[in-house]
Amino acid sequence: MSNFEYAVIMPKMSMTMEEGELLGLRVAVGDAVKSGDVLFDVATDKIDMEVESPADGVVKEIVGQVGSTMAVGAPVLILLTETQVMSFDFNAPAPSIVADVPVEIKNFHSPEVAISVAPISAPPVLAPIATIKAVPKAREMAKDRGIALSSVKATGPFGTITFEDISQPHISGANDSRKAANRKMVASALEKTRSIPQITLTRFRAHASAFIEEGSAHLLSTWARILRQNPHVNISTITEKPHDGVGIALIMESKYGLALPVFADPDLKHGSELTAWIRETREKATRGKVPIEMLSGATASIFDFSHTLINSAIPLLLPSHTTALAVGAPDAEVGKSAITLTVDLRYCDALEAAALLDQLINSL
Amino acid sequence: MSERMLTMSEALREAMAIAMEERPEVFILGEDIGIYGGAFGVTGDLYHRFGSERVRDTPISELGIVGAAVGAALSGMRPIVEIQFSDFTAQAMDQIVNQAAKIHFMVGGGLHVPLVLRAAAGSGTGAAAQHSQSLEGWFANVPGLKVVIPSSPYEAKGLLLSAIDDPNPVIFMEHKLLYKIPGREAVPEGAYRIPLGVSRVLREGQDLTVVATGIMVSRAMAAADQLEKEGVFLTVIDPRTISPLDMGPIYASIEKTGRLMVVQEAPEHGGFLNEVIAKVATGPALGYLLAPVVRLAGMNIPIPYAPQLEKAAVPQVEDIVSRAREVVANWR
Amino acid sequence: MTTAVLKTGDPLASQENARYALLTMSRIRKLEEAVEDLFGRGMMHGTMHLSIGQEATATGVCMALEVSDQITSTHRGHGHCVAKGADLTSMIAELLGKESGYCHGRGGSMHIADVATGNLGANGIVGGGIPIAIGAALASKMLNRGTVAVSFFGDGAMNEGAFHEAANLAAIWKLPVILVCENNGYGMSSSTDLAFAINTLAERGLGYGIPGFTVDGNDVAAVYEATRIAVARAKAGEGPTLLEFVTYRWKGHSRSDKNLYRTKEEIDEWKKKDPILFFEHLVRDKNLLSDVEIAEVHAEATAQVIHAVNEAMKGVPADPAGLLAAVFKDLDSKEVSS
Repeated sequence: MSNFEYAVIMPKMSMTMEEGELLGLRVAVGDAVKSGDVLFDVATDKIDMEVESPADGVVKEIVGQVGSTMAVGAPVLILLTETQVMSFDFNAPAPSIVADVPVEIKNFHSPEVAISVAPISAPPVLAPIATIKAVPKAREMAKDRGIALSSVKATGPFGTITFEDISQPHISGANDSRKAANRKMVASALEKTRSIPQITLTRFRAHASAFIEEGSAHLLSTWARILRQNPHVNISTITEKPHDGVGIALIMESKYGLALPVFADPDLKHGSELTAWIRETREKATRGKVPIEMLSGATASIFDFSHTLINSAIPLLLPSHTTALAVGAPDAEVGKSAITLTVDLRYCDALEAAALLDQLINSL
Repeated sequence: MSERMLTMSEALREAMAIAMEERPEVFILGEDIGIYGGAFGVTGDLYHRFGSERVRDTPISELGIVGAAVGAALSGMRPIVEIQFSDFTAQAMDQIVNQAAKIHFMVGGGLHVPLVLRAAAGSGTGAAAQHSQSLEGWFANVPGLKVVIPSSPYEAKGLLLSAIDDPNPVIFMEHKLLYKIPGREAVPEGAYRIPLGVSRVLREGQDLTVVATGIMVSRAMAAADQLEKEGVFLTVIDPRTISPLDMGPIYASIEKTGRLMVVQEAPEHGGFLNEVIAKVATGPALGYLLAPVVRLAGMNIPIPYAPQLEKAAVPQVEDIVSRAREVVANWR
Repeated sequence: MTTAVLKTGDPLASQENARYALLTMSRIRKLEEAVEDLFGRGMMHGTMHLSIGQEATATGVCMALEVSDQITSTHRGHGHCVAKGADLTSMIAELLGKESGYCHGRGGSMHIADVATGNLGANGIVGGGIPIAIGAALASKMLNRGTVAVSFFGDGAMNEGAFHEAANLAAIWKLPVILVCENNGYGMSSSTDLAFAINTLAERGLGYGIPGFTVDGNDVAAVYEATRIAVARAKAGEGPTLLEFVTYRWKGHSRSDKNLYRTKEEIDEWKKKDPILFFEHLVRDKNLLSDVEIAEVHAEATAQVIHAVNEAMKGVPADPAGLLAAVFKDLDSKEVSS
């Protein structure tokens, strides 16, 4: 009563085995076999094994070719068995997890393992990349200030440049001179605006918090919306014409000192979009790379001190700008924050300026 | 606030008594902890207060003791195992490393092992190579174990109460020289808990950050007192638990001092202090370093017997002083 | 339904008990045949240690236990797990490395534990579970639970220090624990003849003041009866018992075993002492189950295992994302006393 058809497969004998060679058959079609009888022999990458019948039965069909290499899971012969043998063919020979090391507990009889030795090629000769020794903090400072380590005299042990060595007053880096030049440039620009008639007004904002969380985005878009509604102060003082759209310079730190990237129409962007734009620009500035299209087109500037310890500042007009805004850090005790506005009196009188400042604070 | 100055033995005993009063499932087992009161007198009178069931003397059978504690912990108890000398944990390693540490993870979270293993560690008693080791690094290298090294009576009591609360196996390494010395700090009466995995900054100075564990904390503090008179100021940080390890205060301190020294009693090679240094070398504080990191550890030798040899084998106060002075002077 | 409710009682006491004993043994065997097949197809990872031929010990011991009684198991532990009432689908899923497995793929064959059925876990370390069972029994005694703990281990474990230390603690503290040695003749390839200089392994109990008994491990009713007596001793406060169940594993130690250390004749001899066939003869003779009923039991076991494999296959592969968080149990509010 052989009722169940069962395919005896090329079995996986070890963790690394993917295929095996069918060395020989011990049975023929029609043979009656008992559970435990050897059916065929298999050679694997590690060991040779006899494959036994899992149950009593009769050989129905031989599928595998003697001498051929067969994949794990491929049927070698078909049995008709008397009891049902557990067999699961999910047609998915790939294991769900793949080990890169064999973890099987090995037989104490050492298996014949062929070890192939890969040819070893000579390693490439590397040129030394850093011949100058310096402590990490000195290296960091050298990078920040553009100091060539070769120009610094090492006094530390083992001829190492210490932090003290690189902090000597006579040492100046490439970035130091760029910073100085940048500083001079901003100063001379501001000198030109000193003759412009202007007024500076301050009002405190209650319950204020720093704008740093969203990177000044809320402040920037609110002021832009107000300028858009008030074209008489959204004027380029060079063309004396209302500006196309709104452009505001947000003053930030850069690798070479202060940078003034201009944000065009910030009030038309979504909050998160604008926040991302500001963050991206800050990162670029830190690397000394403000995008060229952000270098012009402003009628206003904002200096946001809200995340610092500075409570108020008097902003000066930049050339061609009509307004300048400075926001101080909230007072630690009462949470008041000073917002200071400077306007060019040729385009806006003091009362109009006060109204603009009120509008800004109410909108914030 | 009480101003009681206890020894570490007294503080540990007080913690165990509080835990046993709080929870019926807490019990202690170990060799000679009953009438004898413990090889270092830590359990003291607990046997008389809590009885032989809960202060359970065992045969000399470390593997059996720890294994029984693991099984009891899996079954609703909270055992505290006392191993007379931490060196003897080697006898119980299978139960500590292969069983206690891994059961929660490998069975998929269904079981956990709330077990505390207290062991007397360290040199300085003339007990030589098999009774003087500092083996905490072994255990820190096994995921699944928490490793605590109290440095004072105050720390010992608060940390032990937290260790007993912890649902995971905790290795509690007590330096035997600290057992009998009163600490610098008063030990409050009643229960208080010091969370595991929080480093403590014991003093702040601008010149050098010293990270030390166990008895090396008091040596670092003594060195700091001396150096202060010379105008060299140390920050001393005690991680208290080396697994989990709280690096935050260490990074923050390096930012201020720019120099780091790590001190341990265990041999330098493969020691835990190397983990602190590796984290600094690969972490956010690297750029603040003004000087190479100083490693001060036990010699790579078994602890020798003769007093002068034993002293030479592990860092002393004068070693910390001279190395600290040197690194601050040379690297500015 | 792949979970069986643990049934307590003499396998020969009633038709119901006989059916349960046969079904449990058949479920163990079918499960392990399925495991062997899936491993052979490369669908299971690592290695496997099959207990085919030893089903009567796991079944007979667990039929003498209550659900609340605890066990520790071994690397060859599928049978203990099933006999104590584990869910077949979760077991297979674990072996397939699925998230739905008992251990979420973190433990595999050698680390299945099932808190609900008092199974404190299989163990990859020979002898590792014995001191743990002693501790479980200690907890039972200290908390007056009235439960017993059973430690399954093989003949090989009796030469580990852990056995000796645990046996001594169990004896001096008179713990409600049963030391169950499944003597299958070989510690991997070392035969008991080479590894022991005593006649029966049960003699080892004498040295610790523990009564020891050697029993036919392929006779599920004898296994049950010996365990029942040991449980009664434990619950009466008389302390531990050492039971040596003589049995045989048909398959190799693990998959790569070439059986160089034993003969085909020896294996064939033991196959004639098949614990399942033996029990079938017994229940037929005692008119507890008919041939048809016996066939039905096997068909039911087969269907349960096939169902379990198919269900387990549906699971998603275990997710590495949770690994780091799985090392420690979180300190929850219940853990902290006020």
